[in-house]
Amino acid sequence: MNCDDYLSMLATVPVEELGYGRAREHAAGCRDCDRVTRVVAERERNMLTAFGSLHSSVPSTQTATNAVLISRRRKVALYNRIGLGLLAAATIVYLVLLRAVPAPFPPLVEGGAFHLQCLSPEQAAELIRPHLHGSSHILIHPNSPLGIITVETSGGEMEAVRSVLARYDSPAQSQCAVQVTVPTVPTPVIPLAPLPAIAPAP
Amino acid sequence: MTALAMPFAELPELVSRTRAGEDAAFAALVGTYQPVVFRWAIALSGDEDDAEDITQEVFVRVHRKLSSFRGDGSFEGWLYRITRRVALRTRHQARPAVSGTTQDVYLTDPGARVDRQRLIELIVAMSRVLPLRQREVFILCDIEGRTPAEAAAMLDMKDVSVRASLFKARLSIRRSILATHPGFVEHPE
Repeated sequence: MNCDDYLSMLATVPVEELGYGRAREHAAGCRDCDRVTRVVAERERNMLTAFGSLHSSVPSTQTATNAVLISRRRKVALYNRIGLGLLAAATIVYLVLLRAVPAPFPPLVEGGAFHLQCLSPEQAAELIRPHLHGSSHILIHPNSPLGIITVETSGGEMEAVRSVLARYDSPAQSQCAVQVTVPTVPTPVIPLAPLPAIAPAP
Repeated sequence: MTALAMPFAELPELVSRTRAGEDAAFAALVGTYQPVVFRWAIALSGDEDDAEDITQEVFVRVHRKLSSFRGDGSFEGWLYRITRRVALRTRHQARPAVSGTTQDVYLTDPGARVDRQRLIELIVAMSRVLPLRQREVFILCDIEGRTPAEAAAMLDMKDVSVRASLFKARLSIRRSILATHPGFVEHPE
């Protein structure tokens, strides 16, 4: 074995393996190779000692306590995230479904004009208003000589309107004289002063 | 050099007790494995502060994921893979490297007891010489005394790949050692 062979062995095998056989014989007879081997062995031993001497400056009990605390905190945070994620997913699904499913058809609007026989249009409007919802319309023709009221509303409410008008706007029935609540100004009562006594004529 | 002193019979019991929520068992587990995890962290990160952070994070993950450890592989291998993942993640977020001296302990302080900072500098110097995979193999095999087969199991590598990495690592390390040795130039090579 020459120096090149020995150094190529030294470069790749554990130093202990150079202590046997031909490698050992070569190192015993070659001062340079022997010295280099000692350097390598000592440096690696230093490295090994250094590595084995390393230790954390944090006590293991503290590391364990911190780890348990952080781990539990993260677990709670994870559950929170999962909950929020599910909530967000449910919201998104709801919104998507809301867009995907067509809205129900609005109720059919029906219009009708009623020729009043007994009531004035204003009175009729007062009577039928409680039976209508917010989007219904009542149209009064105040200047028309004919007593006409026009109502636009859904079918069900229109039936109620017809029923009310049939009940109260019928000249054959006494209900035609129904009093619609109209605010009136009460007449003030003026107390009269006593008349002066008239003397009898002589 | 095997870093762990825990009898193998105790480990499954500690693991199962920790899984059951016993904090004292977990503290015992940390007490046993903290030194080796810290050394791995130093070797992987090359920075002491990072190594402390990595060690802490590793045990947080161990506490959280111990239930997923099936026990069919070695606990150390599982622990090493966690350490590696955390270290690599920390390295991506790393602060600028500390520009410490890379002078060797042997040259600067012969015969004296080396202090902590120099020990770390030595490891940092070594970690700069080697690529990550070679460094891992070198630490596990040549420093911690594991066989290439054991290291292969820990690293999820093939045995032959571990041997090849070890070969390259030794070559680099010894070249760097010889390059800094003043007497080496006298060699006929």
